[in-house]
Amino acid sequence: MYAIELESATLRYDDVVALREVTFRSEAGKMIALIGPNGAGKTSILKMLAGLVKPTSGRVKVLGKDPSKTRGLVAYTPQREEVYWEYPLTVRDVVAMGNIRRRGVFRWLDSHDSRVDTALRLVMLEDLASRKISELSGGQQQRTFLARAICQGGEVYLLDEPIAGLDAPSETILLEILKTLRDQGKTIVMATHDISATLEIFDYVALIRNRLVAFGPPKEVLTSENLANTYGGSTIALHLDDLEKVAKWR
Amino acid sequence: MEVGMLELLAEPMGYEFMRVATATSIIVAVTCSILSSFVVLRGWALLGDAISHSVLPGIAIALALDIPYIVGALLAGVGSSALIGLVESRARIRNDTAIGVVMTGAFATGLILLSWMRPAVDVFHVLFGNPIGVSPNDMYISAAIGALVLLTVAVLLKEIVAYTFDPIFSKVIGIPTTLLHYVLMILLSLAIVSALNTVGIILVITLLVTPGATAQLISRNITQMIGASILIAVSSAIVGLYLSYYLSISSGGAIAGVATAIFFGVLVTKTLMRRLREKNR
Ligand SMILES: Nc1ncnc2c1ncn2[C@@H]1O[C@H](COP(=O)(O)OP(=O)(O)O)[C@@H](O)[C@H]1O
Ligand SMILES: [Mg+2]
Repeated sequence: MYAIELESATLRYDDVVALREVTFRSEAGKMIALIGPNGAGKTSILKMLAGLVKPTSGRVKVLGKDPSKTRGLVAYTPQREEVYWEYPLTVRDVVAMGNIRRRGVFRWLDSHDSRVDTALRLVMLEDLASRKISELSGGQQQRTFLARAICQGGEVYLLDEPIAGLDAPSETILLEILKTLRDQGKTIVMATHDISATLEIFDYVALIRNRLVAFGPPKEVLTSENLANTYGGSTIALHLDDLEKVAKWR
Repeated sequence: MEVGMLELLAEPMGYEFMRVATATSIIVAVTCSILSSFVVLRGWALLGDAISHSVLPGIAIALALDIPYIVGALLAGVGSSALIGLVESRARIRNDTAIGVVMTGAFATGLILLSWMRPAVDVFHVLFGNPIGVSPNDMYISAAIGALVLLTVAVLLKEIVAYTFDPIFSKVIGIPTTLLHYVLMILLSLAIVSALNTVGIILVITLLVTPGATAQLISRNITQMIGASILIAVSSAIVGLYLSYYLSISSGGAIAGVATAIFFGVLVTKTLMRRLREKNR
């Protein structure tokens, strides 16, 4: 059984074709990076895997099931801009949301729970547990989201642009946590619009530009030709710096 | 003649109509301010305004069909929020544009219907409230609505917080978000209906936005924010009614005005305190 599976998945929004005939799959316990420029369809793939949108044609399966039947097993972390960070919540409150389905009716915002503590420890936020989320750095906000997913205890983690706008140390910390999760057998699908040398740690990368440009281990897939097909000739210059790093391990 | 503070406070309460008006205004303030935090945090201020304006044709149609106005108002409120969602997704226009179109259209329909039917209700009172005219029966209806809103929010607090903070996550983890959304829209419409008599449909948005906005300035967590919001709204209702009694001014206007004054008072105080702290550092 595959953890995630897309077969000729096409997604249309009215007259826009967001994704055309995308096919790739991965077994459980892998890290998969979805890479492509803005508008390439990365979020659309994550939303299909989460069961938030249905493919117009083709097939999407998660843990061998239809994505609408995997509730609780899939943790979704939206792009950071999707939520209002001025919401008066502490880090612990947000992480405890991962527990929401485990609790009965008639309970208050009581978030003292060992699952919450474990998740906070894993992302190294124990010391900031009672800090307001509006007072966090971008990297800390992203780790809070990740802790919420860990607290939920899903098998598949869908992360939309978690490293966008993070400084290098924060990015490294986040990716280290993802590696730990993978080593526990979790499947991680992460969208990113930036190519960087850190992508080396992923088991698979999928290059997306409203279709699947290439899929496979990073060393095989991240060729200058594939990247040019993904980003187009003009934008590739922006990534030259990273390409040099990429070239080193090819 | 010397008049003590106590007598000033006690005098209006000698009248039955003032007792009913005060009790109803307090109940309505609590009902609206409970929802206020979520209206503010989810960015529903304009949506709340649209629902309140849409209540007008609902009342007109209810009067024409001789059904309870509360039923017409509720259907119109929930219907307009659904219509806004539909226009937004079908026409692919921005949310505030969809709200603007639906809100003014519904309000215009209400005005046309009411001017054409010339019912026995005073349109001015529907628009701006008339707490002095509240009957004990209206008070019981407001109390029932208030109890329903309080109970629903208490039971669903975790889900409502999760949904209003992060709707996508909430949907994926398995919260029935569409259902929850409409439950919230129903609660909003109910709160607006209960406020008809006290502040009216134009000013109810003050009670749905301003207490939450003020509370957000001073709260660290959501329970604190809801509590502060209730406290602010209830104080506004009481102070507003006394002002209206002694100054012979519109009570809906006075209540909304006090709530607004508290907001700016807190904002200025907070800014000054921060300045002071920075200076002393
Ligand atoms: N709800 C929607 N309605 C219409 N078009 C959409 C919608 N969501 C995404 N699209 C379009 O689909 C394409 C892919 O979008 P998306 O999956 O968000 O890309 P990415 O996440 O890679 O930036 C874009 O052209 C975008 O404009
Ligand atoms: Mg995206």
